[in-house]
Amino acid sequence: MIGYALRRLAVTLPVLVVISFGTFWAAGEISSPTAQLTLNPRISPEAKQDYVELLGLDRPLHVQYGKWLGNFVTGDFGTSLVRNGQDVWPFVERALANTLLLVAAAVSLSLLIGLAVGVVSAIRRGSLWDYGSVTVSFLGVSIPVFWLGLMLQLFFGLYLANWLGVGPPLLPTAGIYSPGQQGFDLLDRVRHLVLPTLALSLQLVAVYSRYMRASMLEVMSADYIRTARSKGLRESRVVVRHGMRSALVPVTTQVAIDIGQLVGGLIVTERVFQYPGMGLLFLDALEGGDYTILLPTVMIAAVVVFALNLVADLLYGVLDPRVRLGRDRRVARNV
Amino acid sequence: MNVPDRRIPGAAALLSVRGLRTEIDTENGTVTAADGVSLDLHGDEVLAVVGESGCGKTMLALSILGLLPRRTGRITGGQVLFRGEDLTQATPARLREIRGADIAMIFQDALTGLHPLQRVGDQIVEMIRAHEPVRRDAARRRAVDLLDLVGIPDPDRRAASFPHELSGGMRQRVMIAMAVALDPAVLIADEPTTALDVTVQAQVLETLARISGDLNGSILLITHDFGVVAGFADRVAVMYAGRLVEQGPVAEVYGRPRHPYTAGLLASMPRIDDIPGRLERIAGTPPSLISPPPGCRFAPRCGFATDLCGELTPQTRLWPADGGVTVACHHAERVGAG
Amino acid sequence: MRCGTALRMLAGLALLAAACGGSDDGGSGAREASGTIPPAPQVTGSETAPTPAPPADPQSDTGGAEGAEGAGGELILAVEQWPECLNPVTSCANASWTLWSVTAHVLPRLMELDLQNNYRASPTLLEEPTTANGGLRVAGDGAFTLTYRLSPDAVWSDGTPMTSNDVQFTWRARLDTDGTLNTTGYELITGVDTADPKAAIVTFSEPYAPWRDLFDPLLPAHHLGPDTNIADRWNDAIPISGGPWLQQSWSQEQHVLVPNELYWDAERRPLVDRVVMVPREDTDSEVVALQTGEVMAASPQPFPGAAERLGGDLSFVSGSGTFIEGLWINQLAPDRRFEITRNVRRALAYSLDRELIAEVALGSVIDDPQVLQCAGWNPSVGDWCADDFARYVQDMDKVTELLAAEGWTRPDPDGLWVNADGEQLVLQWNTVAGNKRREDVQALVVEMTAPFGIGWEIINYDPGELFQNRLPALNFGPVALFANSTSPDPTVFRLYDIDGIPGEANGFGGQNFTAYASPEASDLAAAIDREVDAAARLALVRRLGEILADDVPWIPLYVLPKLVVWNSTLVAGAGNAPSSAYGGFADMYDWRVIG
Repeated sequence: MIGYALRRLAVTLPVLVVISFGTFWAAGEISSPTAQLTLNPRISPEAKQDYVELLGLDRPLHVQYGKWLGNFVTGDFGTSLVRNGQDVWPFVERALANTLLLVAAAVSLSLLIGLAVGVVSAIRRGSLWDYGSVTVSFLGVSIPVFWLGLMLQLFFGLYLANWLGVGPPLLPTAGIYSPGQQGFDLLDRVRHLVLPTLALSLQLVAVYSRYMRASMLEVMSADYIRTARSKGLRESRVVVRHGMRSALVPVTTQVAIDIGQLVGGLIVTERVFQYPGMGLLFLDALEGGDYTILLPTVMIAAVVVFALNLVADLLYGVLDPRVRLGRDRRVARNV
Repeated sequence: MNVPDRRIPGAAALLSVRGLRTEIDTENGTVTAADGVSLDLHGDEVLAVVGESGCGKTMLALSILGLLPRRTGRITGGQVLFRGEDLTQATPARLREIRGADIAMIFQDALTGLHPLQRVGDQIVEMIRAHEPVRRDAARRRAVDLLDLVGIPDPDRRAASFPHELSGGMRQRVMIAMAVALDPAVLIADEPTTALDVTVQAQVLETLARISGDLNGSILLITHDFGVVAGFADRVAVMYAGRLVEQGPVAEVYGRPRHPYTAGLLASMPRIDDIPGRLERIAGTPPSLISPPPGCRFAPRCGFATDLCGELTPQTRLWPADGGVTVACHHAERVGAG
Repeated sequence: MRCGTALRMLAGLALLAAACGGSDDGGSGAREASGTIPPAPQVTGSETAPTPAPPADPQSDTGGAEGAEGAGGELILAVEQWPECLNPVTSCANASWTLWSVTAHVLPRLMELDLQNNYRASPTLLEEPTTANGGLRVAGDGAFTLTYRLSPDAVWSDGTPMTSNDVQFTWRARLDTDGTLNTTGYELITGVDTADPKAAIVTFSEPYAPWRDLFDPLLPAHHLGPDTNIADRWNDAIPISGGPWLQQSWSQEQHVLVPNELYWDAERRPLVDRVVMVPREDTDSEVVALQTGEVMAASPQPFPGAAERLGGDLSFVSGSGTFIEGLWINQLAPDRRFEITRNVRRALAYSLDRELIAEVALGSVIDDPQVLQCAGWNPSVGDWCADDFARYVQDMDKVTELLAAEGWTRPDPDGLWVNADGEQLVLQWNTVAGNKRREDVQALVVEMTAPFGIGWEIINYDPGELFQNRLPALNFGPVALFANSTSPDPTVFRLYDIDGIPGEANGFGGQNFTAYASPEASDLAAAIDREVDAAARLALVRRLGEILADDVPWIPLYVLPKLVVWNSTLVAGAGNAPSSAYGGFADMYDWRVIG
């Protein structure tokens, strides 16, 4: 398993290097660091030259990249040009923590709901519930996140409160703390997490429930489910311990792989709900032309996505003893 | 063991299937997998149900325990009486009590029949603990004993194996161990050896025979292999196209088949003293069970068939009266005489 | 959205990529001198002691203009762009919202703009330097001297009086700080005489007309000094105040202001206990937050449907923003098929119904969109804009006359004009792809000019491509539609400077994007910046306005509005500063929390 992980890492690392180089190049194109200098007419040519040499901008691109990569992997994120020389890392650290919390909340909630919906749909295949959940799933993947976010804000912030005749909004529509809040307040923090989590979750619930339904349908027609029933087990045990146990294997890995697809929705969600995470930091850096923040933000996202893919692979081996990692995974697909 | 008077049809049986009708929905239409099947399994006997694949014998076995495919299969008529209790009318809870504890089942392919992600010992433990309030460690000791009983070497270590780590024969032994864990009154074995190599088949059958001898149960053996029946069963029921065509003591049926299908099967069975080229095959193919032909379903393939056979479904009858064999053929007399 | 690179230029009509991502939010370029004579300073000091003992409870102070009624409470405001840092002289000050949400409220300045953007002495000064009071002098050798007489009441929030040292320090910090944003004007200063702590005598090497924009903000020498390079100061906090408000805390999530208890101008003593500003970068979410009452007021950029969506409890006013939008005509466009002569430009202007264009562009935002009738000045500020372009209304005869005079013919009376070389009168037109307003205008104009025999080839670009790559290289057009910022001061030199036509000579750093090469206009624009006499300056501006309307280097279309929105069940007193260069919250010391 460790050997397999290392092999996978050996394959992943070059891909990460290519991605990081692409990001480095693209970030330079989007927000040329030299533009920051040349556009200030009052900086003397000598001072500009000093900056250029300090940043290594006069070197070939691959040399600049090598220098940046070296700093990045050693945790030296440098300082922000646009933010007037402030250290980059504290911004990234804070945003990363917020985003991880949001993603964890959304994925947990979505798994809980999505898997349950999927299981019930599968064992009540063809029922009203099943058709209903198919319809809702379809909506879930088709509704744009920004629209959903806005509707959630309107519903929980405005309509529901108006309808109930209560004054303040039931849930805060943006931010992570109430305005004026000083210090940490768990309840306030959680209340602010609810709507972004919901917005991010609908699509996930839709996708997870579809995965789970398909996987459960396949599993529940398997011979060993019949065996389990023939043993006189309670149906709940048959479904949960025998059916779900197997159905979860492909779903779990799919979920880990799908984390990468969260990125787009995450950026929109963070924007709509003014949630100060990586997505918002990315947008701010993009709009502000701050490549010093743009680069680590994109790179960390890429690393996380790749790491999760690796985890997904390793997880497969943990969850399904039949899989000898590094060999054929398809055996396990036919659980 | 084989008490003659018990073999008489109609005597109080342990498990009695009466006029069972089972339907299965398929993409092409509804199949009547069992069409008025009646059979009796008495205490302490081995009854083999023999037939070609697709004749409905597996669905018959599944019908008994209510294990038909949930969305597509259903019992539309008849009764399954276990100790006089109609299982087709039993509540799910009651069925669960009976499954495993009173009537256990061994499936054809242990690779797919055992849960791939559960250690084999745990699968047996689960069976025990589903019916008896025993502690996990006690149940585990019993599981290891059972594995030992079915002839698995080093059972303590093997209990911790996953099914894919065992050979096919070992897996089938695990299946057997699990099925007999609670000493069930009836053991339904659905093609228990089909998926195995020929040499392993014999070992597993031997194990099954030994276990059935040790335990106080009856066995309903579902097979397509007359060879297996000969060495193992007390009585045999021959199934064709969803119907039982002949039923009786193995020796009687073997010695003097009354139904042309039985005769055909026996004729096509390889024997040690076979002269090469003598092997016969039954011409034609079995009819579709979606819209079976009227009258006798074997008639289109039958050398004895008359116009009557294509029109009138033959009644199941005892013939001759003293042979203990029931047969559903208009021309049983001619076949039996042949 | 920020457009960090383009926003860097502040002086005059710095080209601001209003198009950056389709938003037209202003930069801080709108704070230069005005020629109007401001009213005499209204600092009476009647309610405040010269050396103020801080009132224990500012809310009990009845000196506020609105009185004590409704005083207190917490004002919660939405900020559309969160400043990335607060330093007021470096790139941090690039973002308008750094000014609008922080520095305008916290830091003092010498001259200031009133809510209508006319210059006047701020409470920091006793009076505006004028020729009459001896504060403004031009010596025979051309040296220019300003004497700023500081108010004896003016004091920093730590109790230190404001002095001429602060003026000197501000001058040096502007020049010495690494990455200083704008040194225009400061570099003409030859010295600051600090002999009298309450009178700063500032000497310039030559007359500098936009001087009123200098020393905004004024920096505390005792706090920031002695090092005049303040590049790494005040990035995430401005712990001292010389304005009505004192910063209590600033983070990425919220910004808290409390009244500066030592602020000496009784009329600007805040009525609320606290102001909390929170970021709301998405306009839709911002409106929802206003509706739910989570925030009480905001100053969103104009958005389609604003007039419809801002109903119910929400009140709003629109004011003139600092951005004007028009058709910029690049006379050196590489893709031009014929010379873009004055006649062609005028013919184009005569083919447009600019009333209708303004209505289509802004009708969904505000009720009465304003057509811009001058080429460079914001009509809502001062008397600079003389409506010289009002003559350009749709006129087929004029179009025919102008084009026929240069050999254009119209073989098919319903078709396009064709010149002697057989080229059709088709103009390539660029703008920002995906900017709905501008694309709507394009669609309208294409239809509008068809009967006049003028055709278009429309090619739109991403903001980065258009503003960072094509514009500085004059590689666009001949026609482009984008916004430009104006200042209260009539400085337009950079737009019309012949030496500012982007090219090798200026390292493609010029901002005369129309390549308009009129020596007369260029000289006039330069003279405007040197003429310190208000009446003489106005005459120069008017003259330039006439020339521009004759030559049509570009066709002004409309002024982009600004909005101030507030929840009228929660806030009173808001909405009086929609056009203020200091942002819609400029007068929030007069706002009250109600309900």
